[in-house]
Amino acid sequence: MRGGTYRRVGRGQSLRQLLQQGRLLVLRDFRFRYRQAYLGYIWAVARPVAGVLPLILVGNAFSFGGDMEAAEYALFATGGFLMWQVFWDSVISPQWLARRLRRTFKEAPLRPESVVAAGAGLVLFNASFYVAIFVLASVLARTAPPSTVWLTLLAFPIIVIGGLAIGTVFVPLTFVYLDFRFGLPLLSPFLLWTAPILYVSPEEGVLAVVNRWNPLTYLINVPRQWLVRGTTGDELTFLFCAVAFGALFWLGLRFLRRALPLAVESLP
Amino acid sequence: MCAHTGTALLECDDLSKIWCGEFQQRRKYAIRDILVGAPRHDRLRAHERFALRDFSVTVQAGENVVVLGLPASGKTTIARLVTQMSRPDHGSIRVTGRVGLVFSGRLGANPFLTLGEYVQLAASIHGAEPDVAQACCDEVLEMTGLSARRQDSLVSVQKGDLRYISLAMSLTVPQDLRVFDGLPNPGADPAGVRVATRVSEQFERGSNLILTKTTDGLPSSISRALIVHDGVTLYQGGGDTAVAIYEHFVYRMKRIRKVAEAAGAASHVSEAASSAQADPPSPATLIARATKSLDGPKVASLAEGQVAQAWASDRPIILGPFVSDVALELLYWRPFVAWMRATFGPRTAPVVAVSRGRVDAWYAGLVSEYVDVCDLLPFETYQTRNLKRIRDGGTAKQRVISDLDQELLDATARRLGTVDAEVIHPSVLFRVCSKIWSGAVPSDWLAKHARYQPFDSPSAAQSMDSVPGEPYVAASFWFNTCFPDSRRHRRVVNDVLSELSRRVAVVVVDAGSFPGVAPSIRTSDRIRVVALGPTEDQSREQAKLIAGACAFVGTFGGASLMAPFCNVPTSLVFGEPAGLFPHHVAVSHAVARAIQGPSFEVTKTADFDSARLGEWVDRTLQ
Repeated sequence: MRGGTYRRVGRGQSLRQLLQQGRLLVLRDFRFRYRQAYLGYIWAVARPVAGVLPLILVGNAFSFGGDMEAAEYALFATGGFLMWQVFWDSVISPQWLARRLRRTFKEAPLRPESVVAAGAGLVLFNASFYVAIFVLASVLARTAPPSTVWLTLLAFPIIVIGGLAIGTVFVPLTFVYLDFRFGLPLLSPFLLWTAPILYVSPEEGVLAVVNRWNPLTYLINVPRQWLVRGTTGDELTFLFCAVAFGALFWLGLRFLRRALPLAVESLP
Repeated sequence: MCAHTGTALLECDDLSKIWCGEFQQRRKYAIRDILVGAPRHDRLRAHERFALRDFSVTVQAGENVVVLGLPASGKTTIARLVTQMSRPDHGSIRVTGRVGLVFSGRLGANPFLTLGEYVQLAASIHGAEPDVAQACCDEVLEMTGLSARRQDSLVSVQKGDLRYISLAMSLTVPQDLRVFDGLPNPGADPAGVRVATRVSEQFERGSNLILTKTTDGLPSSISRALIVHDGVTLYQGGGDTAVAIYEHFVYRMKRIRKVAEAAGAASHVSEAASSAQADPPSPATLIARATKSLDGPKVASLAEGQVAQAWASDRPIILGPFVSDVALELLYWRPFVAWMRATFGPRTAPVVAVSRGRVDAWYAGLVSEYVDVCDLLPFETYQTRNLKRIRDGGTAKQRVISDLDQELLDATARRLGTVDAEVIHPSVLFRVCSKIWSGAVPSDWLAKHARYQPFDSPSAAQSMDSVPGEPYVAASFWFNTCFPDSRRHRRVVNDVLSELSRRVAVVVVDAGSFPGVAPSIRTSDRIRVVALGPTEDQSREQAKLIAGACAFVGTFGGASLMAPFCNVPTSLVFGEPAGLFPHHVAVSHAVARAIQGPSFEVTKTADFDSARLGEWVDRTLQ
């Protein structure tokens, strides 16, 4: 097999430097995206709101929430959808950013991990709007949060890492062929509907089996229950999924470091 | 950030990198290599070639290591491998500390950032740690003169103002080792000058790996240099030697390409062209030939070897082009040409001197033909290009073959009807001179490799309208580093002119910077100022005026040094010993001694005595 070695002795660049680089790349992306829009950051709120409202209407009409009241389902669906959105943002943000940094990657020794750090930064930015939307939804539904709500905050980085674990793998691939970028949105509805995010998982049937074996079920459903109801009994499975996604993320970073230089070399 | 001297900052061992030149194929290979892994490094797939093969280099702290190579020879591949932008296919890289890439370009800029944000981004991309990033940003903005514009949007900042930011940042962010992918070439504007100064300081500090296709602007101290071509290291050795070999190599490679083009373009291929094309020497052979002519690492030996090799060939020889200072031509280059002629004798193939100023007479009897630069280029173009050469190289001395020199050599070769002439460029001599001046080579080398001869038949100036119909003394004064502009020196000029004009007619040769004749001189009607500003025959006209004079008095340096070669008694003045190059003075005296005709003196203005000058003039006029 091909492969030389690169070894650094002594101090390299620090984690602080990486985070700083990520912050500046996020800033660069914001300026590019939102300063070209008349409505600016409003689009960051409009997107998830426009996404969740029809789903709530349809879900209520077709009793996706089972025996839940309309307001209760609205909160259930909003919480689930926003967590899903955090997960999905984590999947796509690194490759969005990386595509816009192709030229810089070709010209300068930019660290591959910087797009992951910047991707996480973008997710954090969007998540701040999601929290605001959920708080507003809770006020409108006149529902007090359960005592487990603080656990959701702990789960939040795990959801982000879960998304980044997948998104990181796509970064070098989208540099070579855009098919990976075009194909990624096709994955979105599949992942959304194979986990009980907008509906209550059925007791039996094919969907019940799919839900049971889908790690997203636990990654999103458990924190959402902490947010709107309380403990679920699936906490141990959630912990197991968190460890698995953590391991996947670590492998994804290794893959990114190895694959990104090869992908950059393939650029015209 | 500074590693201890002697620490190996970079160790590359047996590095190889494979490259696929066909874009679609490259993408297919990339996906396969990413997902599956690539085959063995010694097995090339379709359209693949080695961009770099078995390359090894070490850079210790404080060293400047240079990699020379023509475009597409593998330099950028090395830079990318060392900075982790690419992965090696074989071999190992060991880096101690941080490595920075020095390059320019609008790094990650987008028009919606403010200048302050963009500079922060550039600092981060160049690897600045958060605790030093702000200081780096402030320094770069100050260096580029943009401190007051932090809040301006990039849209409103001129592209020209932005061009130095990335370069300045790459020189400012603390690194243990810097990799220069090409030599920076900032402009002559104030920001460019500040950035160029920073580049020089970085070269002084060392710990640099410099990858370049040109030898213009290289640091004065080079620990090692390598020559790469098509990814293969052809030569590795000391800086001066490698630079000399590389220049020879570049010249030969260009000639080979031209021969091939000429043969290809001709509708009926001439015999000479086809034979030259039939068996062009390989790059490795060219390097081996240049290395062989070295006979040791000394630059002096290289110069002798190069001259002997050129003289032994049956091709035409081009000596020059000489486009530097006239004093250097008179004191060093022309005597060196005369030495070549005296040592190696006449030859059947032509020997052509190329110089400027229509100075055919200076080379009469030394070469078979003289070509003036203005026969090859319009005078204004030559002036502009020569100024650019001096600015880019940081010196008027021709230590390397500049683009202008190369163009003049090509044009001369075309004029000779050949595409394959031997070249003895002034850099061959001036590299030795710089070693002599630094004490690395004994100064008697010059005496052994120079023949000081008067101009063969100095042209008289009688035909010039500006010359009086009576005996005259020529004078030429201007201010320079050894005779700076001051009230005292202006008084000396007036005293000299006053003293001379009381005795004899005076013709002042004004090359454009003569300070003027004071109205207080009572005999000013006997002083005639002849303006000989920059024209294509300036040197010839100056020589004519000086050759027709009974004596010459002037500032030490430049055109004043024509006088001893014209057999004209000469008295030169200087004011600041610190601004006077002692080697030039010694050689001037050697010239005067060798020519044995006129009296020659160099006087410090502090010791200047107008009465003594008067006596000297009276003596020479007798």
